[in-house]
Amino acid sequence: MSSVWRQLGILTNWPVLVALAVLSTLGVLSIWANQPDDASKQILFLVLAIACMTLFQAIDYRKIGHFSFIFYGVSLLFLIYTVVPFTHVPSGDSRPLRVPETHGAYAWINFGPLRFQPAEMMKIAFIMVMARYLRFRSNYRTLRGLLPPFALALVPLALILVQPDLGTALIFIPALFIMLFVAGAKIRHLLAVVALGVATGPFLWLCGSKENGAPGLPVLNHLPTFVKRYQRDRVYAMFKNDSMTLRSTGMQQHRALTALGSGGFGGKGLGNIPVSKHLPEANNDMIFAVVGEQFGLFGSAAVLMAYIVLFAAGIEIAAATREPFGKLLAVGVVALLAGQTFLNLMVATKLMPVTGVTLPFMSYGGSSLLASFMAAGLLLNIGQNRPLVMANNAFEFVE
Amino acid sequence: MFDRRVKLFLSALVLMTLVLLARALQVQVIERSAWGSEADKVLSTSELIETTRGRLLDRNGIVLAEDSPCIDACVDFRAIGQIPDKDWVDALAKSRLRTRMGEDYRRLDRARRESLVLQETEAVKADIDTMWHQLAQIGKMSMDQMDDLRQSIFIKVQMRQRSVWYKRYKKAISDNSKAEPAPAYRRWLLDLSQELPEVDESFIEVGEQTQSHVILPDIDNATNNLLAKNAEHLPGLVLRPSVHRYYPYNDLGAHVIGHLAHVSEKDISDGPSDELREYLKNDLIGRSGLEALCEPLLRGSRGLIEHRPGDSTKDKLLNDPKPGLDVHTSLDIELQNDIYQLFAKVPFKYNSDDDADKIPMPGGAVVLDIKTNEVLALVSYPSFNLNTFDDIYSSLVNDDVNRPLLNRATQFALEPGSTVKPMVGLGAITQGVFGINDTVECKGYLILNGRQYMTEGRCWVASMYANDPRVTSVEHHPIPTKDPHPTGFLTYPDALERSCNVFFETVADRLGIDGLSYWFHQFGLGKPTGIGIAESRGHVPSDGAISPALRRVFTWYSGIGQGKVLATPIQMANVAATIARRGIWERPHLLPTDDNNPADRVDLHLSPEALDLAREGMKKVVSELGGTGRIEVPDGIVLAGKTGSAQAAPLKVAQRDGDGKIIYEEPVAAAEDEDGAIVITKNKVPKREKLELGTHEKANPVAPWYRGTGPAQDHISHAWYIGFAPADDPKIAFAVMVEYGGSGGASAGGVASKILEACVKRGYLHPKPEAKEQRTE
Repeated sequence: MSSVWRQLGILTNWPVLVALAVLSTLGVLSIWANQPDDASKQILFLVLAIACMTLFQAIDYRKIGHFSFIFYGVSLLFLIYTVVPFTHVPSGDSRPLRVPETHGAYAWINFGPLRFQPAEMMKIAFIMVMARYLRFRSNYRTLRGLLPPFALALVPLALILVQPDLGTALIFIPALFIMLFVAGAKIRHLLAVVALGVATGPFLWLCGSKENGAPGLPVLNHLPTFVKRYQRDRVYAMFKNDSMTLRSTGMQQHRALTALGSGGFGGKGLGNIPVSKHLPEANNDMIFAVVGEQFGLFGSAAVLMAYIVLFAAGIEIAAATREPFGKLLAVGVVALLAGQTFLNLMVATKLMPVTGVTLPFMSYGGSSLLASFMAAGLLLNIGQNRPLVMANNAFEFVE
Repeated sequence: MFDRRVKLFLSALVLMTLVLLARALQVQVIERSAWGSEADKVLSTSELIETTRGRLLDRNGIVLAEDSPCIDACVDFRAIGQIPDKDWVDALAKSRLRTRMGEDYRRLDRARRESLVLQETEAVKADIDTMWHQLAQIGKMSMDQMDDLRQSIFIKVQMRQRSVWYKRYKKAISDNSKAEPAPAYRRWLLDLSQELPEVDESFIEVGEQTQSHVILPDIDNATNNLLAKNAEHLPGLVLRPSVHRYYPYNDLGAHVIGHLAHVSEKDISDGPSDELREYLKNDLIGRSGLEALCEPLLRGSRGLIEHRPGDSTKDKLLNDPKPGLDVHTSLDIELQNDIYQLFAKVPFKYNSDDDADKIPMPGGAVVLDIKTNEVLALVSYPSFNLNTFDDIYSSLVNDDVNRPLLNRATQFALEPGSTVKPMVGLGAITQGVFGINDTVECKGYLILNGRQYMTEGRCWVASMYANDPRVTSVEHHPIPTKDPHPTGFLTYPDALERSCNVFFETVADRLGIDGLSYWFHQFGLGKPTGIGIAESRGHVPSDGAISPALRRVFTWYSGIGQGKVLATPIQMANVAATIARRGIWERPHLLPTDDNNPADRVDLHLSPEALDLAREGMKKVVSELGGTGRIEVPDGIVLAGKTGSAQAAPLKVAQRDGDGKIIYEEPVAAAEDEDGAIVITKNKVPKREKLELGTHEKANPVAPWYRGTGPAQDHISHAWYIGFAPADDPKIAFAVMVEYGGSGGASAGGVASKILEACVKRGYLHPKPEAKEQRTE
């Protein structure tokens, strides 16, 4: 028992906890300003999430690590469950174990009164399995050796794309590359893959018939349409400021900037969010704008500071840990959280097209909160188990 | 290697954070004011300001219809929904408590205060409920009707929300491209049940959601005082100055002025889509007469005001309300009044001026200005009061004896009788089937190719005097005995003067049924005149199929305006005007216009000699002893006229039970539906019965004007009189129709005579002293 207390208390990483406190408090306040009822639910989720974090902190991560592949497998099964058509039901159907349509995607599974998003669980499982797989190997320094890690990422990614939930799928890519990068994969290999990806991008963009919104080039128009019309519209909306776009596809981001900008330097004050009241998904994807409207630049800067403190602390933990699984897992957690955070913030500030990912620790919603706090729990766990390992530093290769 | 790479990763994270921080700085500090005004745009709400409808004026500028000030009882939108707005009720309850308790309220502890507020909230809700009952009672509405009204206001506001969205959407589209908005949006706008397309519709608030809406328009003073006194217990009630449509002349010209009604779904969808002009639920629209004809002119443009959040001084008037235009019509309301009064006292004895011989008769009359073909008066009797139209509508629509809603001047087509005779002669001579010097011998009966038709082709002399001992023979027009026709061989003018049936049956036989129809059609029968208000097109013989066996008989009948020809008074007045204009047909109109549309003015190319003869004959109708239309004409005026007495069908009315409800025919057709149940496929045909014909001595109390004429008082006919004056330099043309008026000379002629008097009085006819001598005494 005493080891549990030590695990929880003595070596807890205070900067991380402060950052989490700041973020979740600002999140709850913003949700409360918009939907007081949702705020009390969010507090309930928070309690649950913190309990989950404590659990992931209390059990030695190395023990958790043993279950990485099982965790990954179970998550994969849940993901498959969401994409098989016979589980699909129309939106609003709350029968248990059904997959109701939500914003055009089948991403949630009903569990009694609650719903659960397997992709969130998959994110954690993915970084764990990656860290597990990479920890004692070095074969990923060859091109062929990169195949298994990529396969580990691409299988869930493909399933999530089928749902379809592009935003969540995108988060796997930075996590994959960063983990491979810090684990010492050859940069030229990674760059080659990136180059391949960059090259296929325009190709995918141009494929498809004119009826489906594609440019309809000769030959390419006979290929299937990969980029959906609404996705194209969102990309176009980035670069268009005419009133038509600002009333339709571009409305959400434009409103978010309006809320943010009208908050100005000092903000409109706690709970005063006239513009955000007219902002779609203000509680979820656009919560940064709600903070910005209430607390101005102070609020948005505080959010950014809290995140960078959290990420820096995570990287410090990775650097200080000598055990290879922990080292890589810590980087994975940071990569996952940072990827999601920056994706969300860039959407909210109209630096990239709308994708629809939540802001970790802040956005309304149980699954997202639970996953984020789990990840944070793993990070704290690694941070306070810095065992002495009598070995060479891991992942040190001579180029 | 790990440390280096992890540091690179950290640097990338710091860089990203700095980029986002810079972006936040840019948006929140540098571009702050721009986003601030953008926020105002998001938060501003717009509200429409109602405008007034234009006035209808007569040709002398006298007001026929106008919006007049009144007080409307209105209720705040937040109290209109079936469940009053929670926040609003809350605020109201608190403000009531503060007013009632003053400082004490603020000193109360929180729990006590909350319980008091809760109590007061319930009281407010109860007051709202009571208020609706009270308003329903004042408005003489059932609670169901009141609920319907509330529902319709609710829908109207929702529709307006959509409409605001749509306007923005359309503007955006037109800014962006030339593409037309998808029809789905238009459908969605008009039908609340439609799913909305992916839009930010729910985020649009309109000012109407916090405004009051009219529940009881134009309340009287006593009600106003009662409600004002009780205001404290009527949450959301607002007594607001407003306007309502006022018709200073009540029932005068009601048919032609027309009425307003609430818009239908169709009006909304067919109407303008411009936000300031479009129709909204509960709006009024001109539904008949000039109100409908001039709707686009009369209807104003609403104003639009934009409310800025939190600061009413920033309210911006985006559009001034533009009142509708005043419309000058061609009517002379004084002349209209003179003529309308005449129908209240129609003489039933020939040229009698004794009030005892006059009774109110239903009928219609039209007076046209020859030069412009403007309608100076368009009378239908009986009429109804436009100011109480909505209240008395059900009694009006159920009165199938007097049929006050029927515009007898334009919608009532019946046999024009002998008034068609000038047309028949003009057509025959122009077509060359009858020479200008040709004559027809009238032996009392139609004789064609040596065969005498005893029943089908009688002259009126034969049918009226065949058994009269004072007349030895019905040959050669011996009537009147003082002035029999010298030879019995009638020329066209002679035949007009004496209204000889045999002559015109003979001529019609030569024209044939198609020729006859052609000429009737040329003169404007069997087609709408296009005057712009509801009208009947009437009928010409070729409009319907006639069995070949009866074809010839109907040709003769139609030649004397019976059987297969029907016309309205406006059509017949225009026939008189066309003859007066020497064969130029013009579309009559109610609005002054300098329109040169060739379709509105058609030269029929009639033979000038025939026109001279027609005028001569129509003058003789009035001036000669043998004339059938010898009516009193103002001194110095020469009238060219023609009478008509059209045999009428007996008056039938719907049978009613003891409660006054219409009894319907037994279902005439029944069929089995899919389930084998018997379904009535054709019913709702009222059972009709003949009304008992009254006499001079014993009138039918239900319809005193429905009585027989002739020796036995069993002859029923409609009376007509058409004409133009002065005969040689025509200024006006007219037609008078008296329903069941008997012979044309007496009733319709009596009215016509007084119409001429009125036209002199109102300055449309200028008597010339020397004209009088032309009249034969």
